[in-house]
Amino acid sequence: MYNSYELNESVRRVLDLYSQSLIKIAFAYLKNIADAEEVAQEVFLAYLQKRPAFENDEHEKAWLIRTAINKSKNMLKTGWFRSRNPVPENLSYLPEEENEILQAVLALDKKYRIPIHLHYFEGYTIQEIAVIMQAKPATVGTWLARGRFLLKKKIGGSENEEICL
Amino acid sequence: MKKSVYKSAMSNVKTSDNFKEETYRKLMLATERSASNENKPKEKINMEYAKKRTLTGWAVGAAACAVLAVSILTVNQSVPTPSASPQPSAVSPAPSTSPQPQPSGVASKPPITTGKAAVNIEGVITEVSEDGQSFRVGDLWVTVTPETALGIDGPTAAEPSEELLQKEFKVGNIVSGFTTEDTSTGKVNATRIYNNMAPSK
Repeated sequence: MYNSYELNESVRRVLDLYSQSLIKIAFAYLKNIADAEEVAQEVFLAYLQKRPAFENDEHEKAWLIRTAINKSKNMLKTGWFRSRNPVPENLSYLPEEENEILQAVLALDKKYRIPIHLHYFEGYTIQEIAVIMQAKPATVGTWLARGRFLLKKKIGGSENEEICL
Repeated sequence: MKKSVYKSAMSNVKTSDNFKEETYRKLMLATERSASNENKPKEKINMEYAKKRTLTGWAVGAAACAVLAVSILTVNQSVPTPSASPQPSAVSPAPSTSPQPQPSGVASKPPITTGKAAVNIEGVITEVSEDGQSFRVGDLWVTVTPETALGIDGPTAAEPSEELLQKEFKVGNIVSGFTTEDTSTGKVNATRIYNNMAPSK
């Protein structure tokens, strides 16, 4: 049981540590920063209300990311989200190469772009991604391979060249 | 190792400057709300209401029982007890019946069929005196005097018959009657003789 001080400290710690991770995974899912921030807030609220017990920091981070993915899925299913026609996120302030890569990844189907995000942004291995996405490692490997293949087709490059994300 | 372009791009995506502070504020607000909700004694209030309702119910029930008890007592007190008129035959109908409804008609004038005859002379005649005016029933000698009333009268009385009330007292006859005297003395004068029947063959 947390007392008030411990609660405040715990909330501040997870906010400092995982805010960017949660916003970015939600952004990879929803393609909109405002929605991604809303999802991240919901995740922190769920964290605060449920106060789950974790084995270590990695376990805690994996739980938060899994929750962010679930809440992003839920938001995608809502009627108001489907019915609206949002303006694409303006990423023109990014350097050209970064903008091109990011747009290419966001254009992928979500079953490919989420493993790619977790692998290339968070640095998770295939096994870790499999745990987070509750899928088989072979399946995750396939998603990553197909995602890379689709990106190579879009971004270009020789057949034997390893794509650099 | 070449730095991941994707990671760099994602890192450079702009987010709200005050996201952390805003989120922290919202989280604390939610915590306060949930804490205040937990502290609200909703159940206690409900229980108090329930208690009040129960007390009201009991009070109303007790009052109804009291009213019922008082009314029953009032009715019972106004009804004459049967012992007050030992001989229903003595109860005679009112000389003039009023057509107006009587508020306590049941109490002041019980149904004539509810009367009881007081009998303290009853049995088989075992001995008759020489003059035929006294007889013995059990250990009691009963004398029939000129004042002794014979038979049953009253509004529901049957027609007098020789079978039920023979004129002559004989040994073996079954008699029933009533005396106002003390039967423990062993010899009494009969106040009324209801029946004097020959035993059935």
